[in-house]
Amino acid sequence: MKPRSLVDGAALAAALAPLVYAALRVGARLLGPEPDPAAMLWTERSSTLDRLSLTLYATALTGSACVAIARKFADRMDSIVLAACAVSATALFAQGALAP
Amino acid sequence: MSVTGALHIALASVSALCALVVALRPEHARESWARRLAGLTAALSLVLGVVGQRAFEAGRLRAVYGQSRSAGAWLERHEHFGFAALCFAVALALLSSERSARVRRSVAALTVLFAAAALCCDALVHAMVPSALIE
Repeated sequence: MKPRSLVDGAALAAALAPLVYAALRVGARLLGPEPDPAAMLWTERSSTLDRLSLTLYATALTGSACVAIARKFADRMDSIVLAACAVSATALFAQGALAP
Repeated sequence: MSVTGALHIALASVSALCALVVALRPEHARESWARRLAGLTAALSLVLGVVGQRAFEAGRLRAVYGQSRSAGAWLERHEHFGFAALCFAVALALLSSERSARVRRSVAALTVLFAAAALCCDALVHAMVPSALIE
């Protein structure tokens, strides 16, 4: 496997990470229990680190697919990365605005 | 402001400035250097943000959520947008020089946009909650 495919795949995975983050956050909001204000007020830690760890894990899972895409569509990576960035940015902005 | 907090903001600002250089001058001779610096400083900024956050986590949460639930929401938005800025900065650093200037410019512009959004959200939190309570 060419090292360039690995780097391009990693760049694509990084560009898709905000989309994974937004999807996990929205999923937690829709499927998880409503946060207890008292628990939020007196908890020793927020869920930020958990969210980041979960996003890193889920993004790493998509890493091999991203590398495969980078290898198969090497000549079209410009438009693929652009599309991934656009979708990720839109999803995270919508999630941040509507379901923080 | 704590030392960790100041370093967090300084590194995030350096990252955003480097991304701005790439967005404005994608064909500049030192563009590759600026891209890598943007990714590195963004990653360090996230580490410091998490370390600093955990250092005063309980006090901060009590202050922010106790003071205003709206401030708590803006704090969450700061985290979301800051994370997106980091991801785009890392993607920018990983893009090879063979990628077109349009791609590098677009990813750099997104990095700057989300870094600015994160900064605005942080400023709103500080405007809503007295700094002494947060730190």
